[in-house]
Amino acid sequence: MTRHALPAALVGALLLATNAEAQIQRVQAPADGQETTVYALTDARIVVMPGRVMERGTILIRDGRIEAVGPQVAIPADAHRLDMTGHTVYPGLIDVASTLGLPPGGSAGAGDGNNDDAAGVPGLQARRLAADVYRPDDSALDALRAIGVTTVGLAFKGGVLPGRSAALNLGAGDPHLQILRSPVAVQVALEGRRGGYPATLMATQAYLRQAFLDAGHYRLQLQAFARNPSGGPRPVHTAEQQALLPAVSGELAVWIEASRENDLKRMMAFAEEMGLDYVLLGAQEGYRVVDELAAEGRPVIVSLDFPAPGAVTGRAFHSPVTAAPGQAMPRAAADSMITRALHANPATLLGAGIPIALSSHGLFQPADLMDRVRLAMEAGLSADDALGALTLTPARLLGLEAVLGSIEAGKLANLAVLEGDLFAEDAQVRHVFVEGRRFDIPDREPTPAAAPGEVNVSGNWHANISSPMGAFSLQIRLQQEGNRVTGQLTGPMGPAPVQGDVDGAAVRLSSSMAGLTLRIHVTVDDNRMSGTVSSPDFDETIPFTATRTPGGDS
Amino acid sequence: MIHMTADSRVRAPRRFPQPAALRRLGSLALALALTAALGALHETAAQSLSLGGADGTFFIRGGTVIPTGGQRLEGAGILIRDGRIAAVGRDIQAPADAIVIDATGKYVYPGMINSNTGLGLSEISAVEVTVDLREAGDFNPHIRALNAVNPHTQMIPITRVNGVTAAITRPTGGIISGQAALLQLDGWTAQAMALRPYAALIMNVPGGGGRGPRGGAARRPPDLQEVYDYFAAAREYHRVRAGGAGPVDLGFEALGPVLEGEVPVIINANGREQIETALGMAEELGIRIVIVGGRGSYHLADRLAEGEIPVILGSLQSTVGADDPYDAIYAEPGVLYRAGVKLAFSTGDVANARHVAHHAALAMAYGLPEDAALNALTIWPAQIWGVDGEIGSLEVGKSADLFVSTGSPMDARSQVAHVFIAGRQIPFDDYHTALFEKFKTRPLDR
Amino acid sequence: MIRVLNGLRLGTRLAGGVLLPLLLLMSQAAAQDLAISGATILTVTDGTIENGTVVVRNGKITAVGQDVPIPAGVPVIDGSGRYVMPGIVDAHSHMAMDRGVNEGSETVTPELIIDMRNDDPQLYRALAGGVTTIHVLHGSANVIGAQNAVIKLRWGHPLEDMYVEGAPRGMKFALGENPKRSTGRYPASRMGIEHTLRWWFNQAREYMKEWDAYEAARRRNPDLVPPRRDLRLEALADVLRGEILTHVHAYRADEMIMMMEVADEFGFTVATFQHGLEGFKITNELAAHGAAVSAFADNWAYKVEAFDAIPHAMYLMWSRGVRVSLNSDSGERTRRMYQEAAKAMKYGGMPEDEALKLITLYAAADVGIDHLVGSIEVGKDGDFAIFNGPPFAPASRVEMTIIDGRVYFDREEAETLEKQLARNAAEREDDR
Repeated sequence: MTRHALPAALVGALLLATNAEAQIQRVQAPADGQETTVYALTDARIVVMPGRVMERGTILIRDGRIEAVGPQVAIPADAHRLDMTGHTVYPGLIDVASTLGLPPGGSAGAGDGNNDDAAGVPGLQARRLAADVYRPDDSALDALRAIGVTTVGLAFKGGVLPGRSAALNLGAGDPHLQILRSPVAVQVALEGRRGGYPATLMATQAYLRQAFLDAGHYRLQLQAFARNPSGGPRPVHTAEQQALLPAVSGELAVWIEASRENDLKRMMAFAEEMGLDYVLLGAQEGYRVVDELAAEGRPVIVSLDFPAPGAVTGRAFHSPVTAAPGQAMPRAAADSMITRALHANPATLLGAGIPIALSSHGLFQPADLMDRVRLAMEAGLSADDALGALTLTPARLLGLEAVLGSIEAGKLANLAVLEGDLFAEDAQVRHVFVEGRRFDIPDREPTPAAAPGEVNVSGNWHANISSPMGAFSLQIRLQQEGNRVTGQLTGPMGPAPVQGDVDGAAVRLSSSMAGLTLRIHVTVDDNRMSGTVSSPDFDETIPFTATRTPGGDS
Repeated sequence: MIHMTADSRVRAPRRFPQPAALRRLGSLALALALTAALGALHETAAQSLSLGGADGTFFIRGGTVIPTGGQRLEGAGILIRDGRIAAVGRDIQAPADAIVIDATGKYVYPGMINSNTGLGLSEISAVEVTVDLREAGDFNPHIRALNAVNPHTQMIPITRVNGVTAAITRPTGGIISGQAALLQLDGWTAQAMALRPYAALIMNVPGGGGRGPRGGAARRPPDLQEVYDYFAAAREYHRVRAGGAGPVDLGFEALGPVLEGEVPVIINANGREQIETALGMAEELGIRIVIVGGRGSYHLADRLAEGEIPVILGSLQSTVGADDPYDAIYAEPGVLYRAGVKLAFSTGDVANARHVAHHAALAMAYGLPEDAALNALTIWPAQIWGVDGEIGSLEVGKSADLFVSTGSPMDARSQVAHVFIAGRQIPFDDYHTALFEKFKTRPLDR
Repeated sequence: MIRVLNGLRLGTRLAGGVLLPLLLLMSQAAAQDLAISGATILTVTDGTIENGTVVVRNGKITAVGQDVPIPAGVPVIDGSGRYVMPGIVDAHSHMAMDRGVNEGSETVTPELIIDMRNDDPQLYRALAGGVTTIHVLHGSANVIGAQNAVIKLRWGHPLEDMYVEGAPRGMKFALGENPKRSTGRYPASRMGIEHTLRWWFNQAREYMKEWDAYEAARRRNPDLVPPRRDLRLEALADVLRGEILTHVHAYRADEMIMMMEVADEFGFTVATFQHGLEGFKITNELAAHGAAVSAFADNWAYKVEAFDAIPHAMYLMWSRGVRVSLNSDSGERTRRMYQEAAKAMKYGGMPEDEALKLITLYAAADVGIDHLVGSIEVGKDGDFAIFNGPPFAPASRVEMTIIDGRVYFDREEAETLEKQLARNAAEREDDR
């Protein structure tokens, strides 16, 4: 088995367990007998895989699988026919590392019902399986399906050895029947414990080094015992060492959660030292170590949980008060530059030839995934690359590329049917199919109409904002029609369109300036609006007030 | 001995009958002082119990006298008699009865004042039982530092042999922490050391530096309105009491001199917001304030100068704010000085109250002129505490609080050779010197 | 490599991508050519050179003296009126430690290697105080702490470029109040601390024996399973083999003597006592053992074991044959180490050159890099602090800090309070 490519044998053997301990294979037709299991999606525009589009074709689904796909597919009599004219069918999206329904990876994980003595110390539980501790949440599943996600990798966040990840299909019914693969990988992270060893970053690394050395030693003992059971010491089997064994023998990947520049470097060196088949998970500052990542040539799971610019390594080098020689710049410019770099991280890594999978890992609302993907696209990620990072590459990382990631005969019928483009802000997912089972997605909630005449924000406004990035003023020109508001906002970085809606006296505006999304939530009282401005790009909420300026253009 | 001055609030030392043992100790001190006159006192001291200063008539000759910042008398003499500076100048001669101290090649400076310390109130900061800095409660104007000062703390001898001859010692915590005292750092009792028993009232900005009682349960700290209400109640109390009515309230009584403007209020305030609040409090309450800490007061330098509000600089040996230039703390005194703010230096601590001049040195390196640095250690704090008729410069008639040194006190290399407080020669027998002398003599082979 | 860098690889591999233009700035070779001319040069080891010149080629000092030609093409800094001293070495720091100073969960944790970050703003502020190299140690909560880091303050560079190549490994130990203070943990007394040390070193000895036996037996039986690698005991074994410098946090004379006895028993030498406040009481013993002391100038009385600390200690120990350095142990004190060193002249009267060595050569010797830094000598690193006056004089400040011949701090370029206030005033003018 090669170290780098995902083990093809594992994929091919999806339905044949290779590991008695834990290869859970539960791919089967939906049990729901009331529902047809044969669909013909006709006259659809089909995005077979990134870069391959069939302008008009038919997909035949039977028993959870794609039986046929093509411009000319004979439709059997038992098929339920769906006319997809005007719709585009995409491979179901895969969020390769989601914390959906999982307890935290670290100490805070106590109380997940799996913390008896046998389960080990929270955060130090390689033995723990995400597939076992996963608890579904229907509304979260609905929210993910509503953006076209049909499969997730269940990956813990935090801890040191938080457990082993799994692949989950977002179907309905018994969650354990939806597990596609478990374990997918042993997870490693650098979050120290509270109240015990290892508490600090230095200790987490020492712990990990010792844990993998011990597993390696266990392997040597097993081998020696197999060679000569009558001589030498009997191996001592512990749950942790058994869980780590396939990782040290190269049979199971290791997902290493690391996002900061120096953590990425540390953990690459660690994985090399231990000879692990590893995948970095997080890599938010991957753009700062792009050469090292490219030299490794491994796929990287990129979290779209963008950190605040102030928390990014090297921010202090640009600070006006601690600038490194030649690197000083105004605070706002530095933050804006870093924000752009963070958004461009996926494109930068791909540009260096590093395969990436995009993930929601760490996002409070995994369903925000597509908003973040759009930010990454605004920063240079192409639609094809984005699609690849949400389909083929994650399928490969989950060891499921034989059955997921594209619309090809023989693969699982995991599909997303949309009106419009998948990545458009107003994309409307109409249906998803999860292993052939159809889910109809309701219309996005229509914005309630404002009571006519309550407020009218049309006009020119002036706002002074005192932000952590410095004080600046904004000119805002708004035009209200019904409850919809559009206009322009002019700040230190120039003009940007603004849009939003009015609900009673509450006005919600959003705008994108210099790659930053601004959300302005205010209440309007005649010629004054007050509230907050926030940005998903920062952990900051800043008071906001604006006054209406009389007359025409400001 | 300190004499009564026109300012009756300067406290005359009390005279206690001296037991024979004390008298003997006094004569021992005198003997030691005579040895010192031969230039060898701190070579021989190996006591761990520091002696008191020795009375006498002293003539310091041949040194460069710096009477106050900006003045310089080379080859001048100083005559100390009856605790006071009897003469300063080039043309004076040693009287026959004077012990002569040769300061040739050395410098004579006014004794330094550290304007914010806990001297005598804390011995080992980590050992709670040795610390008397903070009382429980938020409004403690009746709390008096002076009567808790341990005059025989090891800290005082160690401080004064470095040329620091007077210090504010004060309580901390709460909103009104209590009464600070201004001490001369030699005396048999704290009361005898007090130049001003009630030099200032210590306050904290609500929600700011003031902390609650040790180990106290979390509770909502008082807000500004409660402070105003407290002062209003005190004014009302004094109005009623002036009419002879009502029971005595010790707290309100203690506020009396503050309300009368006789005693200033030291407000701990750092950062623009706190200092603005402090200025607002001064205005609202009609009190005379002194800012202590003052970090970030450069933002308000003009307002402070205009309002003639002095600033006691907190320790310059502090960490700079995240968004401040690297030199913000060191450069601040220079900025305040140029704006016309009256400054004084302090350490804010106890154990290293001796090194207050090293804080001034950092300010000098970043823009404060040397004369100003010296004045902010001597005459300006004397003015702030209303004792400039008594200490703070080398002038005839003032208390003889001075030291002889190989160089400027701001220069960390300078060695202090002699110290006088109220005309008494201070022995170099502090705990540190004693340990030094002891272990200097350890044989190398055992 | 891993040992020193804690998992970071050597070499200057730089990021590219969207930040390329900025990173190009960083990619300039760290070591550079530079000359400082016409300055007062405090070599520390060879006196003071008036109107002197120092030349740095490719990061190393190639010439120092009064009549030194400056090769063509070497950029020259006019040092007239300036004082140049070796870059300050801070012999004890916790700055820039990444997510954790003390692994207080256990008493003995020598398997730890401390983690650093390269962008702690404290590093910049230390640079502005003339500091060029720092010794970073685990805290003092544990009897045996972690392995240390010795870094240069190459501000703006990737972490792997900060480490001083050639610095030997070091390990932090701690005695006295700090390690015994933790509740519910053995040891709870100085007696228990001694036992903890002896118990663990004994374990390490046994561990070494086990491996020696394995190595011997393996020659007969290549299939033999090796003993379990125990990173904790492996690190202690390296101490016993003399491969790791031991830096022992200690205050009191008795505990220092105890530590030297334990070291003697197990056959290693204590490299330094950190703080060593009562070291002046046992100069004979320290000198006999060969332990140095890295001290505070005047920190005292903050706890019982610090009550006998005296500012004359630097002088006493130095004058009685113990090597002494000064350290900050603080992101604040590190900014004014020159003022701290000057106190050695005040208390006892140490000569100026020796007082300078407290924060340069002797501090470098503590961590085994005095062959690289700590004085202005041909062949050493081009690390300098340039002052506007004598470093120990009260009105002196650092104007420029140079590492490997490259300027990392220049007051003229730096943001200062004066500049900020002038800009604010100008803005107010504009608003009017």
